[in-house]
Amino acid sequence: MLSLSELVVPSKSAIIVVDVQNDFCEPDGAAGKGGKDTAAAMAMIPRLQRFLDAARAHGTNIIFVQTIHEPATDSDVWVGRRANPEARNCLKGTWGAEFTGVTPQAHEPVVIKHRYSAFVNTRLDSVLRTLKVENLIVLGVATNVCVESTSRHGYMLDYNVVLVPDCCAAYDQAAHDMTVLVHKKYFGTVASSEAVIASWAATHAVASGV
Amino acid sequence: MADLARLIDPSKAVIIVVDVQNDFCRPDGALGKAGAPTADAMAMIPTLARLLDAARATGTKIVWLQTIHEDATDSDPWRGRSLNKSADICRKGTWGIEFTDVAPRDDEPVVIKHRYSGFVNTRLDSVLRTLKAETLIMTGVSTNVCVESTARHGFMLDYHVVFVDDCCAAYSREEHEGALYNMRTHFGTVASADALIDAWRATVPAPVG
Repeated sequence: MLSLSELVVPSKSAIIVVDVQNDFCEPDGAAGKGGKDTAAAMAMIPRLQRFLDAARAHGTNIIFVQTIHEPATDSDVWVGRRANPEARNCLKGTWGAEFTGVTPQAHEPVVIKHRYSAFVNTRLDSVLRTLKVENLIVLGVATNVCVESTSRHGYMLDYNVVLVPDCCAAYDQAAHDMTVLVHKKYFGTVASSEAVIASWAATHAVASGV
Repeated sequence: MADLARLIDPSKAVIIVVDVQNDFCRPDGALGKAGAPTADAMAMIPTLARLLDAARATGTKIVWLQTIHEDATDSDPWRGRSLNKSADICRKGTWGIEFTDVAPRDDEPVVIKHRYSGFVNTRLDSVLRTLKAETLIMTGVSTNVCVESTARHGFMLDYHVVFVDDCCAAYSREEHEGALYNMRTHFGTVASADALIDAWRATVPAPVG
């Protein structure tokens, strides 16, 4: 069993920032206007920003996952996923598809997806293999939908998966908590953003001979 | 003929146009400049154009695969492909990635890929399921590399495969014929563009559009 510091070591890890986009986070995005409580998502973003700043300072890979929907991938089955098929989100070219409060730097890959899991029919696995990543640090929104789908799928593709709950948010606290419990039991490790940052700092200190 | 017509029913078949791009087809594209014989690729394109026009008239859908390479997916094993000769092919933002002589219409999806098979870590399967595709009509370049890889993968994902021999091209006749042999014996049906066009003409009630 790997220690937390091994699981988040910058040279072998990639942070997967899932769907931190206006339609999922902003009160006047599609989810908010559809009646979802986006408070947890907005509250999480400053913690996420701090986490990403620390990740960049320690050289940890960051990959942004962005949901974009358009007719080419709107199968009948997919459009029927919600009770009101007219409710669209993350349409190509809209404000709703843009990132909320975070911005990829030029060298940070953006992986476009069109299903819950960021691994389904996307280039994510190729990007991870190119980086020689062994560990995924998964966070974003919504905890129990796209984050959980991605973390489960990543685990089944043989990555170590660390879930960071305080940088995740759902529209329902019980759903968020259940994802954390299930992940801890069957899919990997759960850690706070503070613990991960402390681990990076300690590793860095050791490496610097401090 | 009856079997072919059933396979390529416009409501169930999708034409996959694989990598008909400057770096793979034109003599002054990256592969051509590296010494690959591109004559067969250029010679095939008018037949492909005729097939696409006939397809559009029947309402058969067309999906375009476009290879685009960039650092994010250039893993070590991938960079060394083709005896280390493919480093500058289809780089993002270059003339080399543009389609050669044929081009997608606005309503024809383009699927970007970065490995030989159009199914590996791309959105292709989602696009095909959205179209309720049952048969893939394979065309493009090169016959035994990206077209064959995509056809094999598509067959293993339970699509019927119809491989259009005179709408594909490789960099040697042996490679081209070798791919056709595999397709014919283990992966599906091989037919000419005229055979498909004749089948549509005989079975499709009225042209669309």
